[in-house]
Amino acid sequence: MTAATTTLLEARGLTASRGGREILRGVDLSVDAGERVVILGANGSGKSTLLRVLAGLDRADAGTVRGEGLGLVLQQGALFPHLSVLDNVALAPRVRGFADPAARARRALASVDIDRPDAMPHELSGGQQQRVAIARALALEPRVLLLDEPTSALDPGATRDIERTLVELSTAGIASVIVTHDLPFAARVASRTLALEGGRLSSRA
Amino acid sequence: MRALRGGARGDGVSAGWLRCACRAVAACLAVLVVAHAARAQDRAELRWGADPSGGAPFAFFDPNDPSRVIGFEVDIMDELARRLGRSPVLERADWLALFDALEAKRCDILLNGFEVNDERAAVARFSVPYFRYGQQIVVRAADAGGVASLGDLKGKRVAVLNGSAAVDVLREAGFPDDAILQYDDSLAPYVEVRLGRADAALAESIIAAYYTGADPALARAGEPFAHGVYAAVTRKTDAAFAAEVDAALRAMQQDGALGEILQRWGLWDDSQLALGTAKGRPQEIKPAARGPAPDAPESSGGDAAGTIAAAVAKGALVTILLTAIAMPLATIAGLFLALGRISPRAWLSRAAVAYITVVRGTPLLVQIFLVYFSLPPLGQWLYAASPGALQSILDLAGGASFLTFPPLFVGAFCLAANYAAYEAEIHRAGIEAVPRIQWDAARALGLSRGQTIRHVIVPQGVRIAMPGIVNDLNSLIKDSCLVSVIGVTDLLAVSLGIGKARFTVPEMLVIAATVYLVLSIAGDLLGNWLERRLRARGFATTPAHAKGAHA
Repeated sequence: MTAATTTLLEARGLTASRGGREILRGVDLSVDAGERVVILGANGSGKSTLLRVLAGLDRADAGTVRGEGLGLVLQQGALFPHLSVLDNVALAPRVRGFADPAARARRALASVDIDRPDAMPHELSGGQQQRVAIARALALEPRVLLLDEPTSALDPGATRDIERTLVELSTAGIASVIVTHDLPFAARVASRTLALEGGRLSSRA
Repeated sequence: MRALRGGARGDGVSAGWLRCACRAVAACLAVLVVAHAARAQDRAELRWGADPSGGAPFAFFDPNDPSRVIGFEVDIMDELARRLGRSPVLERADWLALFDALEAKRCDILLNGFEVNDERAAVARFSVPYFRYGQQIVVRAADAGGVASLGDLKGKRVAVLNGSAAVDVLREAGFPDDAILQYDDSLAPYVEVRLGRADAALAESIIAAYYTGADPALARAGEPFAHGVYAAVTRKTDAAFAAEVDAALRAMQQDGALGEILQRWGLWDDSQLALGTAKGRPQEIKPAARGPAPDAPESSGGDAAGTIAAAVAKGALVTILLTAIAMPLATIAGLFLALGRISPRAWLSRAAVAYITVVRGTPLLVQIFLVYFSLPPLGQWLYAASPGALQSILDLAGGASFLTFPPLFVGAFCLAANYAAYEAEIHRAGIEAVPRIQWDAARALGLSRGQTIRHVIVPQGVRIAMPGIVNDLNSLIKDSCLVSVIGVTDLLAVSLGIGKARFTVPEMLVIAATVYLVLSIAGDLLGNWLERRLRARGFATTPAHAKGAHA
């Protein structure tokens, strides 16, 4: 992760509609290595839709997304409740045939400071669950993390932990696109802040 | 169950037990198929059809050892088979279904009190007759004085054996259908007379003699009348075999072997001479021919109780075996049906819905009969339609009878196929209860639809479905008694058989019900234990983040 100016994600002219309403009306976004881009917006402004389109989970009506190694972290983690922490993180590498999935999972968990691999998800705090979700995405070695409301329902301490994790990751070159309406968190974590209004992205100071 | 401890390996608890269950079921199937093939190879058997629950003295469960079937027809068949150089094997079926069993080649000959008549002669071939009977009226002892013939029963209700010659006799005498009460076994008409629900019973004299001889509450009225004959039944297409049977039976009549059997069962009367049956040497009447002695010394009670308990336990084992084979199969098949139903492939989804709708919408009893009697002809048709190379492979599995599976196998299969439709709906509810975000999370990690279903959705859906499945395990234990209609000697069949042979049907039903209750409680305990194992370490059915939805 040396070239700090490498563009990892490039979206052009994304449009998408939900239930007959146009939610995205030509979104352009470009993310470089190590950036922490925060996207602010009111509820229903289309932030989640934008992330899902970027991650390939939903289809855009028009526009292009170019990017490699995108990892999506859904709201409140969405961990698999029937699997242990380690199995949550190791599942995708194992199923997709990556070498030594358990070691990958342990590395990913270490990078988010989780040391209870055998715990079940419900035994962890909300903040720890969120960090396991980040580790689950990291185990696939993405270059850009897409995070949907990573601090919703977290207490201030847990929010700080997430913040620290994201900053550490960015120093390792992993960029993040963070959708949130938590303004103080946004202010602390962002290296660049954008606003989603009327279906378009605009920069904020 | 290592995965339950959340070790480094194992991506889901369900994968472990599912694999385990699959292996167990496959092993059971393999054993059954091998046993089936081995049996099909044995050509020295003479498979004969009879319904031991029909009653004495034809072929019935030995009151003193209910695991054995005895009767004068059993003795005739033993002798007949010996003369044909084969060993007799009893194929059980409901009496009215025996002709279907013969047609389906489940057996090659019937010998079970079939009165020779035109309807039956139209569809099968009767042998030379082996017994001449007459109809006997039986009434309550108090009414005996006023009844001497059918004419004295005008306007009264008469109980008979379902489908027996007595039905035709009454119709010809002008009795309306609602005055003819038909029952499925030989004992029931007499019970009904004793209880006052019927005014008289009409049945062949030998049945009347066996069931009323020891009962002071009942009395025979008048002399036997409307005589007819019993004969063995073979398929019309087996002319050569029928000729062999006729020759052997004829020889038994002439050399006294048949007459001696009839004597031993107390059935000899000189009217048998009219059939050409010689009396033979004088014989002692067997104790079993007198019916279960009501005046038996108390000391033999303990012995009988032991054999009855052993027979009931064997029946209970069959019920457990049926459930143990059918429930895992139904659970696994139901899961695949549910996955088919939610599949984006329209044809697969429609096929699953069609199966579930048809199976849930038709009676299990009908399904059991249909499958049991249509598999053998289907197998024969498929065999005949197969090219030679395929036929030689099928020959290893019994040739044209490769689909003629034993009743237990067919019964377990029908129960599994039926319950699979219900489990499918339970699984579907479980799968649909898994939060949508779980599908998203798996897809976001790059898992395919199949991988998502296998590793993320099914393990959670099965846990949610578990209470419903455990509930169905409970009802399957009791529904399994329906397979007794195709001759599986399960708990209910054994209990009824003993009850009929010993005139203790109500008592045996209470015992059977008690054992079912015990089995069902055991089933619940097993189910609850399974549920707890699956929920081990506090897996929550409704995870906290189920509520979290994306904007």
